[in-house]
Amino acid sequence: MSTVLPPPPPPDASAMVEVNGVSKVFGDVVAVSDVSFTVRAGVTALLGPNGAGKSTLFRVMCGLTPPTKGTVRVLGADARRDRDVRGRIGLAPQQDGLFDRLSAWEFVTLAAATEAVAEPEPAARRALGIVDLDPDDSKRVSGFSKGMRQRVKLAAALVHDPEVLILDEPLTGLDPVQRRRMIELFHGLGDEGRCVLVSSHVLEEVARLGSRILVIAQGRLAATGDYRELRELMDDRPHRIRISVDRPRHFAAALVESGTAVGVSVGADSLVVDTRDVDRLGREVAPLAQRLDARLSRVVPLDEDLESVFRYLVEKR
Amino acid sequence: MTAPVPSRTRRHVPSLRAAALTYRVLVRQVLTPGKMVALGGLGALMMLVGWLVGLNTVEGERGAADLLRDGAGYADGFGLIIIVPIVSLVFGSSVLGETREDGTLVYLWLRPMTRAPVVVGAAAAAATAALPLTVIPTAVGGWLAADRVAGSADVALAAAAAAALGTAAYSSLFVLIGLLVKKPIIWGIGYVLLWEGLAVGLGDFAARLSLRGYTRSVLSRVGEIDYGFDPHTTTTALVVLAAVSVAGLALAAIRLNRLEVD
Repeated sequence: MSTVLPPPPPPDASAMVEVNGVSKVFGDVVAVSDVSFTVRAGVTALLGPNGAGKSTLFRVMCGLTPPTKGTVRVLGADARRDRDVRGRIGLAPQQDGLFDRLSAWEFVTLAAATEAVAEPEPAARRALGIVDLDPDDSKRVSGFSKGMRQRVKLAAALVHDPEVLILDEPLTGLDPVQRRRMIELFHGLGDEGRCVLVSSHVLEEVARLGSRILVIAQGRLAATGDYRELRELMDDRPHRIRISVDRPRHFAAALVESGTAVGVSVGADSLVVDTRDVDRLGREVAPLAQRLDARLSRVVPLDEDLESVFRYLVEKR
Repeated sequence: MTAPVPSRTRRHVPSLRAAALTYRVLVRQVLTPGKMVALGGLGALMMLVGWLVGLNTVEGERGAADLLRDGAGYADGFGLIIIVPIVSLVFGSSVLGETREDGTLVYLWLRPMTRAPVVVGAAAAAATAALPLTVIPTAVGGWLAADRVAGSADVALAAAAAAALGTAAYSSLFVLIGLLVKKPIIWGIGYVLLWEGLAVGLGDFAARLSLRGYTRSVLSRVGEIDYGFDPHTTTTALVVLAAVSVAGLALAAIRLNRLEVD
């Protein structure tokens, strides 16, 4: 079963990435707060809403910014200090910036050369092929669509055959077919024994990755587990539903009396119900309205968005 | 789909190769049409004004020595004070500064390369872009302003040497500034106008702390022209300009190593 706020992990010999008590503060803003986890070979998803701290955590892992507190080890080393380990990491950053005056072929060849690949040009050709880009296309990347730029970044991250891949929102801008292909690619890389860390703010995307998930919200690690475990965890939480009805007080009383509602707040022409059994509520609402001779106009879930799931997971701490 | 990419056989990029790779990509990035047109236009203006100055010289009214002094003074006053630092500022501060702003620095930073060659490659890219736009207008402008009299070619050569050395030193300094501050152009213009422009006039000690004092010394000594100030020796000027170049690069490498990269 998944764990909410796991204790700091013990040293793990098979861990490829170790994050221990990491916090990162920018001025007054706490971007990451006391996060600990380890990641082994395979695909791991870092799931969280925009602004949750995913990119900051990735930057800390890659050594692009030092943690304010705590330690990070990638393949046993600190990427900020260790030149060797930098060549064993492939990063596809979230930001869109590329060397815009280069073609995709030139960009990925440069990436291969700066990663000390012995034969950069064949490596670049192969990496571009993996992401379905034409190595012979001489168009500058400045003229590329968002999806094509994303694939250029992926090719650059893959070109040196890294042991650890850190991919920040890599599926953004890709069409469904490309997404499917990239997800297959990530699994293939994971199966080869690489550590593939993929961030996303889209729950369904992470579900398709079918991987271990680290949920991060408001800079904190809210939960870990696989997708099924995470869904179960989320299903434990009360659901919040707004019911628009012309006799809200009677409706509220009936729902509390039946035990369907664990909390109710009543407004002028609606009520907000907290329930642990949303299916039961769904079954009861229409018959109840009929029984109370109430005019039911709308039933709207208020907390089905990912943000509220994260909030729940964090508050449950 | 998951065909493995070729395995790496080396862990590090050798320093020379790292510098060359950095140079190759950044020289293309930094040479944008907008910058070339704007800064090329500034150089063209200097040459045009120099030509007009030479054109308006009344034959026989001033001796050859006076004309050479005029040419050197013009190369100093327009070329070494304005063109050299401004052009160096634009290319030097942007060569790594812009990569920092647009997020591309990560593609040079998260690599098995040491920082110093990256900085050297970047400074070389900035200097390559800047040199034609500083040396040609300064040399040609000085030559034209001296009305092309006998000896004006020496003024042009001395101006070219001073502009080239100044460009190297300023570029190195501005690569550092591009990594130190946001909006480096504003800081750099402040430095050029307030310090380099005025310091020379504030007395000997202040002049020693400005690069212009050394670039104009090169112009005066190499061209063997006395145009109204007490120059440093050639050796002193060369050593100081070289030391500033090296120190700027060394500090930029340290800064790059400590930088927080987006």
